[in-house]
Amino acid sequence: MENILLDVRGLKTYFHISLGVVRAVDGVNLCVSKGEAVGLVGESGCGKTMTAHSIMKLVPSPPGFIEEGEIWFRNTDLLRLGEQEMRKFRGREVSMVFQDPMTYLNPVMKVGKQIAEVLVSPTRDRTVIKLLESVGIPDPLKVADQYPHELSGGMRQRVLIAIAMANDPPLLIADEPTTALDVTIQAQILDLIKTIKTEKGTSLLLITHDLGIVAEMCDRVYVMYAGKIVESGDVFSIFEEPLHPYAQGLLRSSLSIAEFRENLETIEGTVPNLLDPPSGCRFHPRCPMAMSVCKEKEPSLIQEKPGHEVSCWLYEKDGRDRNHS
Amino acid sequence: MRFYQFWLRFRKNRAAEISFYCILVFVSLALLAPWLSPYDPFALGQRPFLPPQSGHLMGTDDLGRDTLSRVLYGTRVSLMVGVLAAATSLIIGTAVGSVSGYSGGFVDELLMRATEYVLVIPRFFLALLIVAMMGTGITKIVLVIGFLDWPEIARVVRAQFLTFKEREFVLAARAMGLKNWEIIFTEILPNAIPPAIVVGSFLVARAILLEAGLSFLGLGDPELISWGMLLSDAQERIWFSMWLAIFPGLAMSLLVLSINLFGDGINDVLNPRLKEK
Amino acid sequence: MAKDGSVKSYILRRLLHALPLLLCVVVFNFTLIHMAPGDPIQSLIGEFPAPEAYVEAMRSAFGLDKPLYVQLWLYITNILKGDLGFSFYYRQPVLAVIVERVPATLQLMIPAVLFSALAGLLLGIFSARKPYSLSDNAISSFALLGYCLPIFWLGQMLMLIFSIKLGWLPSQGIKTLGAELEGFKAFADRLSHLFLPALALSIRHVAINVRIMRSSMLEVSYEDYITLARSKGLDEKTIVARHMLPNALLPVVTIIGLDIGFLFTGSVLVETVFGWPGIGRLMYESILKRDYPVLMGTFLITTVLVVLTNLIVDLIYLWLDPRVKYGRK
Repeated sequence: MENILLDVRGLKTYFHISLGVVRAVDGVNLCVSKGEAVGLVGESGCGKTMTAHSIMKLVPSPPGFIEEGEIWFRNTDLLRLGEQEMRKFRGREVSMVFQDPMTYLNPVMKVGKQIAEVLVSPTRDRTVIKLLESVGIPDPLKVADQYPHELSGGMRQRVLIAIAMANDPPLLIADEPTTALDVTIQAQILDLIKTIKTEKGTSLLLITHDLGIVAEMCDRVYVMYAGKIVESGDVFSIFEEPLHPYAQGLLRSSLSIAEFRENLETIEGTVPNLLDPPSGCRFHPRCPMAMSVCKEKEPSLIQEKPGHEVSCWLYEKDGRDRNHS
Repeated sequence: MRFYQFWLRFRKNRAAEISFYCILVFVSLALLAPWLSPYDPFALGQRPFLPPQSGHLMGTDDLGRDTLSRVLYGTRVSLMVGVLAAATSLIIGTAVGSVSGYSGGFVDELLMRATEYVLVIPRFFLALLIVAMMGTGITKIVLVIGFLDWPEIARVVRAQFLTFKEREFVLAARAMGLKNWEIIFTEILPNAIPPAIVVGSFLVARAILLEAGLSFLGLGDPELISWGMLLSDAQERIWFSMWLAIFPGLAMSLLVLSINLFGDGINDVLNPRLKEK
Repeated sequence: MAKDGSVKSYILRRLLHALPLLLCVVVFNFTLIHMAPGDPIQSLIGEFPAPEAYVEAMRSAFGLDKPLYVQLWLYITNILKGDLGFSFYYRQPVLAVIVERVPATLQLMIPAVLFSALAGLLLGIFSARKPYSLSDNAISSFALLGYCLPIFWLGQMLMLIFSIKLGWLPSQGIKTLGAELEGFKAFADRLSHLFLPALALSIRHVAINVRIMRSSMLEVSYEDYITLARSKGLDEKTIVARHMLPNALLPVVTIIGLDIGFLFTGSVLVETVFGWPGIGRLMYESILKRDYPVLMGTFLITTVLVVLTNLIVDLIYLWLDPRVKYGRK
């Protein structure tokens, strides 16, 4: 247990809008150990970004509220901290790299200044240049004096990483860090994050929809669907033998893209509306193996193999019994 | 049926609903002014400078004329100028915006430059100048205000044209060989009108204030009674008969406020996104 | 920031852009002279019993017996020479009459612009911090009201309350006439005269600025870079001052710039109510005296002033927003 850096238990983040309550994150458990790289995968709209924002307590409120749960960072439950104490965690203990480098930098502020304002160290100017250098920006002196619109997308993402790593936080949350970038730049940015991780021993929570990135970067994976974790385990066992039909579908579709197969395999149907999620297992309307019980009762997360958990009636004892009967 | 839905959604905004009733009251007062007025607004009375009292609820002016009757008649001028001038602006603005947005290129550039100029010049000064030199008269005042206050409409309509010009149904219409004017009138314009109406409702309020400003400076139609003229008369007598200034101003403020709230209400119904936030 | 050279060429380009506008105004005045009922010479000299010799001199100076295009040319060249005509009522050249009144108007307008910008921005920021709260609703209602009150009536009511009923502040003029005041006393005297007209002139613009600033701040608060600023662990004050404000100001600056044109409108009315001896009062007197050359001259001069203030506002925008390229229209 000593080794665990972040432990999220039963997290529920709901959005109260005029049409009703959106259960964006609905009872998520996940943990990240020191030096570990953990992936959180799922389709867009499944609540993975909101999970990350909840950990940072950045959920726009109103309308969003963290309703329940605990977020233990080392020995502190972040959800019990006041806004002022929470500020000391952001940027120093936990940092975040965001999805779209185009919109996350302040357009009217020089890049150097945007990095400098996170720093707690007194030798700001020199540190800023060093940081820019460390994220692989050529001519850091010039870039520090430029505005975001003068930089390319890849450069801006490097700047965002520099901001996130400015105070050497033990935990880095990266939310789709390469989605908005060109393919060639994607690889560079992933390499950069990898290098940082190995050099500084930073723990990583990587949020993505791309299983290829997970395979390349992560030690362990959580698969998220409609606000819930449906499967978790180490990368090898999940890629080797995905248990949940949703995880199987995700893997097939990403393989078919990677191998340029003729028939692109996709998971049929669309992400459910979280205002009014399906009953029972939320995946059952799209599941090729759905049984009658799936519609009625929600499966719990069970350990199928050591370190490999899944939430699906196919693997529950009584679920299988019903299937056979 | 669509109108009924519109009304239901409009009513959700209480302030807008109340202001709508207020406007109805003002309109009825204006229409019924000759029957509602206790006195002939032009008739000289025997007792000048009476403070408000029974018989003269808003007092009398320097010539003994009944202020209430004069305020009632002033409603007519304000409403008439407001609505007609805004309608003029609506027509001009829609025409300029449509042509500009639909044709694009050089014509667009030219028209938008003109729009910008009209937006920049001190319009009220220009109105003063024209009315002072061309002579006062209600028609002239309406036209002058209408011809000066169209730029916002033109911009809104043009923006709508730019978005709708490339939509599928317009492209389809063009592929089917419809003529330009047919596309403009049947396909795009119906979509551009609602936002223009919203702006137009605010222009009514602004036109009322502009007319009041003109007549306050002595450039109103001398044949008619307007609130600005009443306030201008009150200006020199404010030291000893303040009621002459208070009542016409109150009436005008209430009307302008109602029209603005009404416009906000329509805007809420037509652009619900803004409120969701 | 950009180099001096490009700023200079930007200013030059903006001025060139405004030139057709000024030409339009001149041509418009010319058209008005000929469209107005009666003899054009009346419009050129105003409705005064001028000496016959003067009328004849004017006729030939403006070539009234020549074809229209020659007249237009003569009219434009005269104005380019700085000759806006002669006011018979004031017995001075029009330009001199107007220039004499400019300082008083500026004395009224500059405080009003500053106050309405400052109060509008502060109230707008305050209002946007807790949208739909009690304080926000109160400020928004005030803004709506301030937007709707007719400016000259507001002036009259302020005068009624503070000068007539309470007797706290003077009601007319720019300073106490005939009083020989010096130093601080003279300043205080001017200030007490300034207070009510400046307030009457500002309220509407405070209201406009509050509404724009509030919505602009709200819009910016949903931007991604504000989320980044939060994730950096910055405190709320820093986020508002350093990240929200500079971005939220951009649209507001443009509106304030356009608004200055409307402030001239207000100044005619306010100056008339408070007997303030500026351009506005001059216009009012010229309307009464049918002194057309002064009216046309004032229109031209105020247009020039508005164009210049818009240029200044453009430069402020340029300084605030690094993204604007000078090549932009």
